[in-house]
Amino acid sequence: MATTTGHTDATELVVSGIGEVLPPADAEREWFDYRTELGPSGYKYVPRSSRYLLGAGKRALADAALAEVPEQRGLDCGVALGSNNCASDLHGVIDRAVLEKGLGGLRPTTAPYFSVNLFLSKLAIEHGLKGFSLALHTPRVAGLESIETGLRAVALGRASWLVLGVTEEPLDPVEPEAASSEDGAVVLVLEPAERVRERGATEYGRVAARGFFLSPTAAADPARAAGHTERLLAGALAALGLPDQGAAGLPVRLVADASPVADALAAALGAQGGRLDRTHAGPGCLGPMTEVARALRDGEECLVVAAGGSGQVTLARIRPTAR
Amino acid sequence: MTGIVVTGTGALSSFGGGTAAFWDAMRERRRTAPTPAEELGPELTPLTLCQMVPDGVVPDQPRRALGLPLGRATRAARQAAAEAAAQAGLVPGAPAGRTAVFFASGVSDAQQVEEWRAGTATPTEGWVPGYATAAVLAEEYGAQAAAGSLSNACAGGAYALAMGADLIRAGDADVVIAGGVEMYSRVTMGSFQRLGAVDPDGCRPFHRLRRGTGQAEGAAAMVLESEESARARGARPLARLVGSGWTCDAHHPTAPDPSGVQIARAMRLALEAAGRTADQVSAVLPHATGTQLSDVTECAALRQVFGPDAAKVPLYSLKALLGHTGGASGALSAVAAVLALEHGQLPPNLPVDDLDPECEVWLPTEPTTPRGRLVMINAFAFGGHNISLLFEGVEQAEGRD
Repeated sequence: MATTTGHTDATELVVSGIGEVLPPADAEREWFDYRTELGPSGYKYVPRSSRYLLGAGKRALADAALAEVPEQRGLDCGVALGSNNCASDLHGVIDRAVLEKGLGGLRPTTAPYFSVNLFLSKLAIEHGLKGFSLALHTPRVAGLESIETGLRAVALGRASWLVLGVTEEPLDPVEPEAASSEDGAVVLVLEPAERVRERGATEYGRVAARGFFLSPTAAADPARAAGHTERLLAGALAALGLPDQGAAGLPVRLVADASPVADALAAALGAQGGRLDRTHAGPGCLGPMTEVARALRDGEECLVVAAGGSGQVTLARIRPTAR
Repeated sequence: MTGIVVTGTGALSSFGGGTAAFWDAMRERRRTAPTPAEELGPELTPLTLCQMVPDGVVPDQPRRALGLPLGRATRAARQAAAEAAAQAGLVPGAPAGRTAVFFASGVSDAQQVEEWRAGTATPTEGWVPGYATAAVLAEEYGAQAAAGSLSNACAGGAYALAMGADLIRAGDADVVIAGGVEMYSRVTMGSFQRLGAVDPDGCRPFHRLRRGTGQAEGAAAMVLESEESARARGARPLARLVGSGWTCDAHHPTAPDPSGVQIARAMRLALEAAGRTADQVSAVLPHATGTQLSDVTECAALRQVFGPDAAKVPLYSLKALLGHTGGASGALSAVAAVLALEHGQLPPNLPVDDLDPECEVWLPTEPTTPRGRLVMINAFAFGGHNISLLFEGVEQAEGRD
């Protein structure tokens, strides 16, 4: 297939905006003041995870000096957003209303949110971003996956710039591990470096990501785990421009659950010789993206890795611009 | 850049399991009757109707995989994927490193959590991600390149196919198992009803008196691969996926932009990607959900792309027969398109006895042999996700015997 909308070199995209909406320590349930952040009206019935995302998106675009996206520019903006649990709480509310009161118990204002994508696609609607809009839900990795998917789409000519991100909100209490739920949103804006420089916006750095599937069965098999994992890891590192030295010398931040997949990956990453910090992941895919945002802000060259027991693994390579 | 071929298809719907049953039902214009969804409780039936997959078609087992409980949606997806994989000659458990999986669903295995809430099942230990279908399939087929899950609502299945094709185009995989699934969910069913988006007379696309869509269950899968891979494996191409166009309305959460401009742009982008022109399109499988605005908008978009000849392009209105299968619908349309190309025939449409004058379309009610062999499918969704895919038939010598 030929490309569609032109040919922006995906490797030339830099992060020009970062927006985070994350709870303060010991936050109350309603810690995000959406009226102040988003506006006094129009958001009352918008679910929390969408409000977070809209808030992070607004901050990221403002950070990129793109608070108002020109109509023409919106046409070639691709949006890729991830979430594992954005809909859980509201779906619990809808479901209990149906169970207890029947259809009459459902609010027409919340009924459209049966559609999980809608929690995410509001961001493109809010800012007139018409290139494409993807709602990704791959367990644990959907945030980093938004980077990989978005950049692949740019490389194939589907857009020239990107709004990427992730949002989570606490799980419905009926779901296991609800008490350790992730909560918040992170959004990144990626644009061609030349465009960022022309506008005088901040050039945080470059980010790229590559995922793979590590069989949970293989990861749990002592005879296969190491070799299998190291081979897949080497392939992903090569795809990220690290074919020979691998992750050697790069700090690695692994955000993962307690699973054979995560353990096998930690061992393989550890064998690379760099510094490895492993953080326990709560349910969701927010944690790795907060690490990406932090590294870009701090100017730390590193690898951020997300992995989960269902086998999905994604690596993100962060290369900050010297500032 | 590599060409992408379809080497396997699988389908599951109210017609039963398998593409043969799917094709027969389309050819015979056999519409299944919606049945009450008992799970919503007696006070809500018989209004809550759904064209359900018949009992026994979705396998009852396995109930667990990868340490996770396996919901009905994932079991249905496994069934559709197994048919597609078998046709393509993919063997479960065989080494398949450069294989990937992309699967879409509006709500995936939400039914599982709904059972927990209703107290009819007990929650398991540990977090259960709602979208585990792709991982389950990746484990089963030895895929290592990716195992991605997405929603994108009613456009999801078509997006999963296009994203899989992009992975191959980018050189990141050789083979992709992709598709979509949607099974009964109380949250979806109740919400659709509350929105007044369901026509009590069933899904009637382009009918003057249409009042909404009709909900249905379904799953569809395809095996896509590079032409080189198919050749090397000796897999027979059934069709080519020659282009896809993606856009977003960015207009309204649930209503399409009535101008149809972004829908038309998706169609044009698909044509551009394929290096084809509108006059080369043999037939279109429209999104056509039976909702008032959506059908009119799609017709407006078709006119923008096909010009004055739009009403001369034969359409096949699948949802009139099948109902709206949500995240599976785009993938089921894709399977229908490939079957039509294989058989060299567009199935007959259900007659629309009172065509909306604002919907100037041609819906042949007899089997039609289209001019050429390039079929477009459209899929649109809440949230403004638009996508068009173009499938092209292959020479008989390349295709199945």
